[in-house]
Amino acid sequence: MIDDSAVEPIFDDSPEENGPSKSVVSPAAPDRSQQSPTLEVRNLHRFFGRLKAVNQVSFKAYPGQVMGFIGPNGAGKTTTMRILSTLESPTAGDAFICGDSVVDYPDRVRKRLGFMPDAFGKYPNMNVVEYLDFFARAYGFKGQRRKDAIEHVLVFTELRKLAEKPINTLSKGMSQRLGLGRTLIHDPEVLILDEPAAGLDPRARVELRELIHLLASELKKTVLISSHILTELGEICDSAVIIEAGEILASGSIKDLLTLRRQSHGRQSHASIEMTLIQAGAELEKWLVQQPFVSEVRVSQQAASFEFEGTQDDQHKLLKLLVNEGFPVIEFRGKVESLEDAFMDLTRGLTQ
Amino acid sequence: MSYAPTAESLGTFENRIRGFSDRFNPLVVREIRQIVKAKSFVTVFGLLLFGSWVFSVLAVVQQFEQMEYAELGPMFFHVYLMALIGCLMFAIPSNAFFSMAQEFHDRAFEMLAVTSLSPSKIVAGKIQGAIVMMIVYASAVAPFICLSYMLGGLGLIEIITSLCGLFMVSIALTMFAVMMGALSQKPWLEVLNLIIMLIVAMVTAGVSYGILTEVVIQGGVELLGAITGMGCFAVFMVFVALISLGVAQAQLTTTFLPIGYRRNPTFVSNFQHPNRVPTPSIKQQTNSSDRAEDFSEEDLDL
Repeated sequence: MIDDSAVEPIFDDSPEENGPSKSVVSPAAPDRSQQSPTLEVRNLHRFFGRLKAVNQVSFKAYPGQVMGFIGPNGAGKTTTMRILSTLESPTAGDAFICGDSVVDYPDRVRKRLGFMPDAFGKYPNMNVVEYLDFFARAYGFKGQRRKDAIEHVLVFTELRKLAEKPINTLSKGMSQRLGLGRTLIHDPEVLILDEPAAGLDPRARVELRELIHLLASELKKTVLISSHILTELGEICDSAVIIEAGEILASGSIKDLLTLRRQSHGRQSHASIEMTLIQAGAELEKWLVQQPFVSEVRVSQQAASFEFEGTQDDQHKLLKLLVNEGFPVIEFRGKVESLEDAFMDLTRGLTQ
Repeated sequence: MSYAPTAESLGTFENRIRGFSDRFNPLVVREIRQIVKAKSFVTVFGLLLFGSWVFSVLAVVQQFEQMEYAELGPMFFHVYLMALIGCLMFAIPSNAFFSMAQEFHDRAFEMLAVTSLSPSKIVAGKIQGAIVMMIVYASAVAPFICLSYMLGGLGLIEIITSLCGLFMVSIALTMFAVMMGALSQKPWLEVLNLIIMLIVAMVTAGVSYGILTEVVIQGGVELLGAITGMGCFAVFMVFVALISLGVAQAQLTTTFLPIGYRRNPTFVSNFQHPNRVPTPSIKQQTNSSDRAEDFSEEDLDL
């Protein structure tokens, strides 16, 4: 049985007749009551024949916010991002970048938006500066202004020393930096990054993450970022939208999504406890399941885990009891919940 | 007094050149930068220049004794025209085709589409870039064409008419190539369209070569006839060009709204995600009745 009230603060993608739907952004997020959203998706639909690639999607993002756009393959992430980037038109609904409709004013939107696709073609016989110069010209920058824009991007992305290098000889990490630089060349207010970390080595991923963090925190850009590497998104993003089969499942701050996960398990105050023991066995399992607040007990040879619904005092009492009972506990810790956990619980791997 | 350029004057000159490039379509600047670094251009340009030079030297040496009384201009011009037809009707349209088709490789076009460049500007940039290359190729042959004029037997009107005709056909062919490139958004389409484009280029080159050599060079033309012929030809070329441009622009436009678009949709999709409200995924292992309600004081007594 579906209980709408349980998820009301988080879910808000119900269609409204003849009007935009409400979008809920994390109540725990910084106070944005005075701010206008720089990115707003209103009841967006995109159908390809019978396939509903995007279905009743609504959300908002504000300046300085890094929003993760998460979903399995074929969930509708790229289609939504392409609509936001004016590369595709919606079947119904609308989206706004800094208040301008992507349907009515695509030209205005393009000036305020930077889009970085997951893969981008590298033009042959061009070096880094020429590549950036071309895009600066394409955005209408002339003379000294263009020179300054290129210089700023080269410094920000740390590509200065590779300025004369042919772009088709750049490594994947450097190419992604160049892609980000191209996206930033016209200093857009909203950045849409589709799988920017795909195929990057760990160092390049960390560096890219730092750049994105800097863009949001220092330059107050709104960043919508999709990725399959959820652990990384959890570190970069302050909010997330989870989408599957074209529909939004949940949206809000990371904290809200984790709360939602707990609610989905019927728990308000909850912790996952993991223990390491010198020796564990059926006796421990039997003992644990009889304890208050304890559920979902799993015991292996030297480890045990369970869900605990009590307070921290109760946790302390349980640990005391374990020791008193003579169980050889050497480690007792609360498992840190991640965006990945929320994603796995909320999605079912549906494809259309 | 020294007239050697100073660093300052060179810097100013460079700035002026850079400022001048601001007036061009960004695509033209990019295309030219790419082309001059491309091996294909260096090879074709080198062959054109070197081939024309070698032919001229050998022909002059061989025909040296007849040069004073025989009118050798048409023979020389004939060869230069053939070389120019090769460049203007194959090299340039092929380059324009690949340049446009390449925009769709690895989603490169998406990056271009989100800039301030309109589809018409993108198409225009490709064609303007090709025109610049036509001028570059023609300038390589220009000294040799002058030589053929000086050898006699060839009027200025014939030369200008031939070159203008050649340029017009080449521009129309380039527009056609750009259209075919814009239609090549899938690899198999690219191969098919390239074959079609090359067949059209071969037929056009053959017809142009025939008309130019038979009518213009052999038959000779009068000024009025040349202007009238060129006018008729131009009308046909404009027609071909407009169709090609229209198709190419339509292919590059990303913002066509689908039929039946609704800004505020009133319909509700019948599809509802089954996991909109997440359900507990892990089965409870114990019943609440099996365990105590709370820790007792007795349990905690150490």
